[in-house]
Amino acid sequence: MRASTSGQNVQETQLQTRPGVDLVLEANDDWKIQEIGFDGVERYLKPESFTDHVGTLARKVEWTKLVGSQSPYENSKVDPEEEFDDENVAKGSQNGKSADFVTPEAGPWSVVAKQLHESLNQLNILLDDMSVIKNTDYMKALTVLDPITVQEPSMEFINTNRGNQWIWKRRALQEAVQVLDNATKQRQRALVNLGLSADYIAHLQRTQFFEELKEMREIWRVRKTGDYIYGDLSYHIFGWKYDTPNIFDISRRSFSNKTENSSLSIIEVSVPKDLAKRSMIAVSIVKDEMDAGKLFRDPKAKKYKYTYKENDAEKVEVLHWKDSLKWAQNTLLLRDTFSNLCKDAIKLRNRLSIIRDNVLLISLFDDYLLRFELQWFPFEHGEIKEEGDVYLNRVLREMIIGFECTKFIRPQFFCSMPVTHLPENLDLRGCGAMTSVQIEDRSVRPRSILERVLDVAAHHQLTQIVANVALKISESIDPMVQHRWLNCGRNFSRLMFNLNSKDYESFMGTVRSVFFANVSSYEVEVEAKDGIKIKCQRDPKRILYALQYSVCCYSVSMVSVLSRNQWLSPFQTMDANIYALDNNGMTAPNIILCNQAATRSILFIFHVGQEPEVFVRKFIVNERTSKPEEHKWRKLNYHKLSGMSLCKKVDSLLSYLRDG
Amino acid sequence: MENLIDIDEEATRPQLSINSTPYQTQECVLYGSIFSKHVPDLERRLAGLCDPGCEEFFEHEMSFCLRSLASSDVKTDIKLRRRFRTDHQIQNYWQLRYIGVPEPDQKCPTIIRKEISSLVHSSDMMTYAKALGLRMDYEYMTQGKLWTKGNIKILHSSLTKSIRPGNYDSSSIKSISDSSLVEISISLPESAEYMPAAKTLRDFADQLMPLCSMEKVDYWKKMFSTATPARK
Amino acid sequence: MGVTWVFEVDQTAKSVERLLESFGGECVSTFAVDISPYTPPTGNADHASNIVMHHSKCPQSTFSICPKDTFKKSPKAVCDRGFDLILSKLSNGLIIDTAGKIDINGNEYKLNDWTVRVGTAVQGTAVKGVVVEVEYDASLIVVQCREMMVEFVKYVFNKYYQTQPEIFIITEKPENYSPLDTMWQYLLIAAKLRKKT
Repeated sequence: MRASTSGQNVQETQLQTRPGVDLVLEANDDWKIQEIGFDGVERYLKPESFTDHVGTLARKVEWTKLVGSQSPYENSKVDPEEEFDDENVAKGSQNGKSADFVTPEAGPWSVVAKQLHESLNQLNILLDDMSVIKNTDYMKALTVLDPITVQEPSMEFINTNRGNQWIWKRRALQEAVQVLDNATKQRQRALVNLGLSADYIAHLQRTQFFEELKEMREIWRVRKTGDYIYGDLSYHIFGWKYDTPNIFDISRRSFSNKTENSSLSIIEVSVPKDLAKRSMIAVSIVKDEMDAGKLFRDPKAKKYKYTYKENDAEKVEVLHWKDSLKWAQNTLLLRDTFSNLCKDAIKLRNRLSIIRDNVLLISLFDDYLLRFELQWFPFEHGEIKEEGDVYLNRVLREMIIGFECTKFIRPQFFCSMPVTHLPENLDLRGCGAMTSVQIEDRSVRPRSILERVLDVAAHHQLTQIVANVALKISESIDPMVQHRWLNCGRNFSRLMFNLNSKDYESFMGTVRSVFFANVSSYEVEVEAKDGIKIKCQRDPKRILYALQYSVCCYSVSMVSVLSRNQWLSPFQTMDANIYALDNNGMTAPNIILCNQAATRSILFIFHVGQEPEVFVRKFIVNERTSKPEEHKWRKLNYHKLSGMSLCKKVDSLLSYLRDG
Repeated sequence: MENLIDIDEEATRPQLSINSTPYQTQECVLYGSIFSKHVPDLERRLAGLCDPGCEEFFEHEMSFCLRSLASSDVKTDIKLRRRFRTDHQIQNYWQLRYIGVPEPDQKCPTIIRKEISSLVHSSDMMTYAKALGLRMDYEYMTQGKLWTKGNIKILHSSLTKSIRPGNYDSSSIKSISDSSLVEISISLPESAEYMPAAKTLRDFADQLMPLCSMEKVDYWKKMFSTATPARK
Repeated sequence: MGVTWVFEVDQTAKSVERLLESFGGECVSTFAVDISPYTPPTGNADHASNIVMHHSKCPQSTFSICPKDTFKKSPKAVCDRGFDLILSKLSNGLIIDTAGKIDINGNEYKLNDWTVRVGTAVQGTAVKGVVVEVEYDASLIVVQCREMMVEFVKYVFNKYYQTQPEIFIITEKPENYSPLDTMWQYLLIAAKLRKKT
């Protein structure tokens, strides 16, 4: 456009006198702006097409002048101008115009003045243009330094814009590629070098750290607050966790030397210093005697008194968390347990107890004491020798765990009621119209661990006493005593004794050959098969006596059975008394037999725990007429009777006296 | 250690004291809601936070108020609750519950209110309630789970109502909304200092935060503003 | 709580106690029963009064009966002690009638399977009479022990056995005896005692 106009101008200046300077400021190739609205919208002029151009030019032709105003419209007259092209038309019109509208000239300089005026006008226009450009921001040209402030596109636009999506996808892909590239690069480098790069080591350590953390989470409560990762050592299942004194910190171990210590865990834990020791509670039953040895610890001895000192901090650091956490928690658990045991012991009014230097002594029964000792060991690897009674240790442990697993707080009958400690069967105490007796029966609380351990320990000790006695009595071969445990419980056990006379089993059909010993936490009782019980309290001598007495009763029965044996020696039992007393006032079951011919009486006295005595005399026919000196009991030497066992001896004696 | 009840102390007095009346308590409560479809997420969170194990419940609550001719401005609400269960042994047991007006304590981070509950056994509870002069306001059923953490009680339940009052079979029960109600509370002895417990409760509630925001419902403001014109 | 028969006697409490001791009864403890009517505030008679009772035998329970013609028809409930606290919140509709409250205090005697409670009924400061409660601990079924109880009362007191309680007479089907049956008897006696001058 500009070219064409300037071309025109050039032509004009050539053809005419110079009309002044025509200054135009326009974009070099653009549609012409027709106007800029107040809203800043530009309206463009549509560029003229060829036909438009021809049209405008044609409109400029003054046809009347060409053909004369009077002459009618005739096509023929147009002929001379048939070859008119654009240029000619323009020329013609220009020429016509200038000829027609020549203003009268007012002096020789008027043309110059006019052209000068024209030029000045053009300059003014140019100035206006410049000021418009200068004051309008968006039209300013940018320099290289200017930041490009793109107007913020709306979110919707961004989201829907496919181009953006492509960019994002591409970027994401690039990131992934970068990570993968990095990994392969590292791997290759590691393979190539065999020596490991620092980056690779760091990467490995990071992965290992998270893997171990995952493993740790399977056993321990781990939590992260801010940048700190920490865990909980407390062992409670119910209620609040993360009690500040029981928290351990988790950190990543920084290896100073890359290659060493591959066996070390990457996770480093710092347990509370007071828990950095290994512990054990040893429970044992001791006798309160002069020669029982030291019931308490020697205050000067260093054993079990380990405390955390600064100088073994390094040793603690290298421990694997699996060990150190387990030990620390055990220490915490046992420390709490021991203090609870001591608290319970103080509350038990009917039992004496002494607490000193992590040793608790509490009276069990009679001379026996139950001893709890809290032992501390260094926080390092190594076998700890289990001291005390293994059974009791385990029982205590089991009770602690049982206690921890018990939920004492429970919701009541309706979920909207407050939670309670009361036993569940008391929920309906009011609306069920329970009597005070019922309420009291149902509101029994569980007993403390210490009381339960005391019961178990007492039972344990009594069982051992009984077992010793049973061993002693089983040494007897005449009759043979066998025993076996029928029932072994925490608080009640039952022992069965079986008696047997060798070679005379066939006679034993009707004889009561079985009796029992019942052991509870408080006492032992010997029970015959017919249900008669002999209480023995906790005295081994009385237990032994009761057992031997039962054997004597068996012997009496055995003698009576043998005497009745028809085919061998039919004797009559004149008298049998298992409650008889001997001269010393001790129980001594006896039996008096008389032979069929009524000539001889035989008396067997079974002193408890001793050899039987056998006496023989002539049978007294008439109690009144007989003289006592004539009918003295003659004692037979038991040893000299033929036969090895009681039954054999009785058998042979009876067969000898049968007819005599 | 605070979660451990002092079992030893109980051992020294093994019988329930007759005078101990745990019926009137002070309650710290916070309420929240969660979309039912997100309840499994909440349960997972609770499983991590609470004591192991939870109890399911399905209960029916009816709210009654005492209508007396004397145009008294104070309306006493009494809640009646019963359990839905097929077990015939626990039929006819009801909970009679009075919930007091919340304490106007702006500093306390939870709602504090008095609560009295009483277990009642009656074979004809509805006639009995009528005889007491109670009239039913509204009713709903609540079904959900109960969790505990120490003495904190956490309930989440979906509320349903019956489209045909009096019928509570599954065909006439309709859910009230697609959200579940979450309630966290601690019960304290009457006239005990409630501030520490309220703070503990608030701390606990904040741990449910992204899932469920537990709020102190400011009844007091609302009740106050509506109650004043009523009085005039 | 076994089957129980509550009746009023025209003897003094002391004489009844002496009588029981002569049969080998042993005084084991004391007992207390209170019966308090809760009535709607005046001018509001659209719901009936409610009788709230306690018995020292069930220390955690509150018995509440809104008396109608018969026991069967009366709305009733056994509650825990929280009910008393809730009642105090219902003071708009139910006010305790302190003047009508009857307290029965006395001694409890044990005689093998029998528990006999002898108490003096007091309304305010006025002594209204002596009430005896005979309980057969071993049974919960009325028809099982009705005859025996009549015999017991006849044997010990040689009177009062004619007027048997409602539960003894209406026994179409053997139902378990409940503590509420006892309290219903107390309720009736209290109503009678209140009218006495």
